Amino acid sequence: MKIVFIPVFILSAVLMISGILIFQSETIDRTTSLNFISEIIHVTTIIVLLIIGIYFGRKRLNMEKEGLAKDDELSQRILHKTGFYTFYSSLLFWLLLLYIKMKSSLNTELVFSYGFIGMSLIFIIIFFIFNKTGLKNE
Amino acid sequence: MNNRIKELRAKYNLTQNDLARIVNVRRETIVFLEKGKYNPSLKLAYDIARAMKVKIEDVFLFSDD
Repeated sequence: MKIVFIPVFILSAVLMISGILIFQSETIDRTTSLNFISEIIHVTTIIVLLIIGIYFGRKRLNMEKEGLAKDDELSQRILHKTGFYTFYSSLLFWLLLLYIKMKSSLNTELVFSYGFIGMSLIFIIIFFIFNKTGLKNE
Repeated sequence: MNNRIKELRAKYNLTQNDLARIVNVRRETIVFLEKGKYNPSLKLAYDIARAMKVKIEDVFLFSDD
């Protein structure tokens, strides 16, 4: 297996397994519109994240074929900075989820899957922002 | 910090891909450098200057502000 597909594989595996666990959960009351809408959002988000993951995997593979560097100092620094911001944003995100869970009847499994997917989304959004703006004057 | 990468690249008839391949970085990094959105490490600055056959200070223009 090409090493460039490992991040895509990990992302896919985590999201797919969390998705399967949610759908297999018998404690979720699917008759309520809130839980039903949540599941639709989950499926859509998982598909979008997988498409993004596959896109980046293919891009890295093409760069490898063209003899270009897949990673360099800028990409490494963007990844490090993205990880740093994702960590702090995720802490706040989990705190928000905890608050929502306490104030609503949202199912625990859904809260956890929101956490997984939210963290993935936060990472991708921050990654896109740094890829767009660059790292000036650092 | 400003730079003359685009100007020197045109002088030597190099594409962004060519320069990226020579200095072993991604093409996006060259794009960011040319737009002034990234300040390179000393090693990358040296590699770029060497690829352009000039001194570092001829490629990267430092200013006090």
